[in-house]
Amino acid sequence: MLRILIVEDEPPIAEYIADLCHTILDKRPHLLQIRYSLQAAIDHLQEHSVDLCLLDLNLSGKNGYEILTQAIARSFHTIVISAYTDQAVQAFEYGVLDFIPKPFTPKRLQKAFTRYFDRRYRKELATVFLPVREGARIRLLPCERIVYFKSADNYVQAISSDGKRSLIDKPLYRLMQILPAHFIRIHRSYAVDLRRIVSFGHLSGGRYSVQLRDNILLPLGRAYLSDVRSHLGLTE
Amino acid sequence: MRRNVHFLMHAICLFLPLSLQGQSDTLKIDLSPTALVVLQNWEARAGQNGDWIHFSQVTPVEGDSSFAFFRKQILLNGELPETEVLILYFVGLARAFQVYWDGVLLDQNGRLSENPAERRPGSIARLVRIPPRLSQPGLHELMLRVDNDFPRLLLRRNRALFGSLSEYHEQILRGRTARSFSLGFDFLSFLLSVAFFLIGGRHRSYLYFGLHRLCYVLYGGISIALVSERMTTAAHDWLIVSNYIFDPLAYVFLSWFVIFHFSLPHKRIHFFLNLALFLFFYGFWGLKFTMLILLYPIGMISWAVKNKKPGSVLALIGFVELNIVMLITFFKPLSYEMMIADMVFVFFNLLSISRQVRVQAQQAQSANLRALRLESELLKKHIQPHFLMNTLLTIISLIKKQPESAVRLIHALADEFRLVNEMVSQQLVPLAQELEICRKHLQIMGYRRQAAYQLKDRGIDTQAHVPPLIFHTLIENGLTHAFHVGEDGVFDLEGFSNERLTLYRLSNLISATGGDAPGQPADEWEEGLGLRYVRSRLQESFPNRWKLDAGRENGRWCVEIIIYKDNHAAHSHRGR
Repeated sequence: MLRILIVEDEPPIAEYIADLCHTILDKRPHLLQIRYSLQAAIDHLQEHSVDLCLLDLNLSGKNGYEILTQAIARSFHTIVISAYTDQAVQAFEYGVLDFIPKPFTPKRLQKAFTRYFDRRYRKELATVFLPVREGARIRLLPCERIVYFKSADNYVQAISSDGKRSLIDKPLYRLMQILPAHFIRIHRSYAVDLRRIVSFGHLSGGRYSVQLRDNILLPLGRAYLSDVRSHLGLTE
Repeated sequence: MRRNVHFLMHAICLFLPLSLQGQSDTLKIDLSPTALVVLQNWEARAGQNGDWIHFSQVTPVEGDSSFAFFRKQILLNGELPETEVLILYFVGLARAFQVYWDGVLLDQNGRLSENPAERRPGSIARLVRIPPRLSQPGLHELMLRVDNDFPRLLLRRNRALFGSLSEYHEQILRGRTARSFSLGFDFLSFLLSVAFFLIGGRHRSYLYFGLHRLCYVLYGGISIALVSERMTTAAHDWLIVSNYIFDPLAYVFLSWFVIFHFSLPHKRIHFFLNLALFLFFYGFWGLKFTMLILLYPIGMISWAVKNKKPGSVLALIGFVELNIVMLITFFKPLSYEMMIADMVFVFFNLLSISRQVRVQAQQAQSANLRALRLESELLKKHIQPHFLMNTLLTIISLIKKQPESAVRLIHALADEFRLVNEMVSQQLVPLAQELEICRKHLQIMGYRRQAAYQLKDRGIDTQAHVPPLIFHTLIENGLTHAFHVGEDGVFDLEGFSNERLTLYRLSNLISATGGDAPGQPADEWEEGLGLRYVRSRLQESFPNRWKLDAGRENGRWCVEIIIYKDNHAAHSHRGR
């Protein structure tokens, strides 16, 4: 069941988006809910889990970004639907999966859903900051400082160059969709910044490993071996 | 004013002593340099008989006789060059007199007579040549027989000078050149001030400074026309009278210049106090205490400096400089130095004026830029993505389900854009037009937010003019902050007007269920872009005579705008 939350303060537009979602998702099980204000949406998220948020965000003010980071720090993906196209780049930098400029066609919304469902989709404008939770606070962690990610259940640990670990409230496969292209999966539970790879090879027992700078040794999944090779420009 | 001090030195005396050799009754003169000296320390007596008494100047002598005698012994040393002639020059001695040199009658100025009916005053200035045969080295006696009965009240001092003819011509030439130069300078500064007045937004203070200088131009012109070797007493009287006219007049203009140049408060009080101070000192002592009189305008300019009025520092430099030189003059007579000090004074005040003209030009430029910026802001408000794109998307969303509503929304949007187009370049628009665009906007927003919005007006003069889109902006803000989606809302616009001000009060009920305004502090809301636009527009159209207050009142959000009819009303109302 795909749980979608539409946050839009204009009822005709919210209903229009909902109608389009029904059409696009067709027989795929889904639950659509509409909230007409940001506060109502935040209240809803306190009590309910969602998979995708379609957010109309007035990004003209500072508060817009604060709310956006709060939303992106959650486990779900966020697609912004906004008239402020000049804010799109910044929205992407803050980690939204897609940005749909208003007014939009049904086709454009469908494209956004396709991206959402494609596990291998990597967005063109990469995320620059990742909102991470630190207790009740949300902090923006620059992607450049992250060495690798380690998956643990439904959240991910981001390990920074200074060794600090931060929790990200998203599964690794969802996180990969919004990460910059230089982050690659090396294991079911690991993704690394490939620019930091020093070497890779196999250990005893048919196991493989990747060595990063600062003597960091991570396991390399057999299924990801060829992918790592090609990213490093090595052929068989 | 200080020019008159300068003038008195030159017009009455014409030249200054280069050396005064001894205080004894016998004056020792070295003939080779033949410089001009002032003859002082006379011996005098009334009539033919009686004792000789000491007199510093040739002034009426108390006694029975109609005549007074003045004598002075002069010892000539050395040889007089062959080409040189010795002279005596009397100035300001506006009585008939005879000049005797070693007992020889050299000259008679006017007519002396025992019969009062036959007496005639002489010319105000008199040049007497001493024949070479009487100019031999040795002791000589100068004797004046002076008519004692022409008290010239207007005259203040007289001078008798002795020296060579060439030095006399030299000094006359120098004096005239200086006066002509000074006159030209004054005329130029007058023209410059008028030019500043014409190009500098017709600020009256520039004209006052020009008129201040014009007084000296006229006085200088009169003095050049009247002062001559054979100047009559009547001409001299006219000169003195014109001095009494132009001195106070020049000061009146100078006072107005300072008061208006720096927009001093209580203008009338300052002017009359300043004038009273001037007349008090001038009436009793002439220009002797000018440095005290000038302390008042210096005080006014200091206030302007404290309040950072443009050009005030420059004006202060000019006034203080002049006053310092005035103070020096009090102890030691100056002539050309005074003229230079005056020019420096004028220069700094013209700089002060030009500084203000420049500030005005910058203000005008920034006002133009502000107008352009506001115009572009107004356009931006209406082509802003949030409004336009959302409205278009609402139209798309309504087309299938409610096609009639979609068409009506398109018409309302078109109407609003037509009105914006009409208003965009206007600084003020009729209130009727402003209300129309507000209602169109409410109609559009009603479709978008599926609610009914109304604007009710009461006591409004729809012919009155207001800056474009100020109420529209406030209503836009109200819609964003006050009402929950789907909740109907009413805006009330009330108006009140009297002879001093016009008041507008826009209010709406704050939603109990939604909206941001109730939870937000008023000042935070006030800092919004919309309110900044409204304030800028009010300042552009009604500079410093408007007031805007916003806040919650009895469960309603209220914005009150007061527009005062004039600055005085604004000032007095704010002062209460």
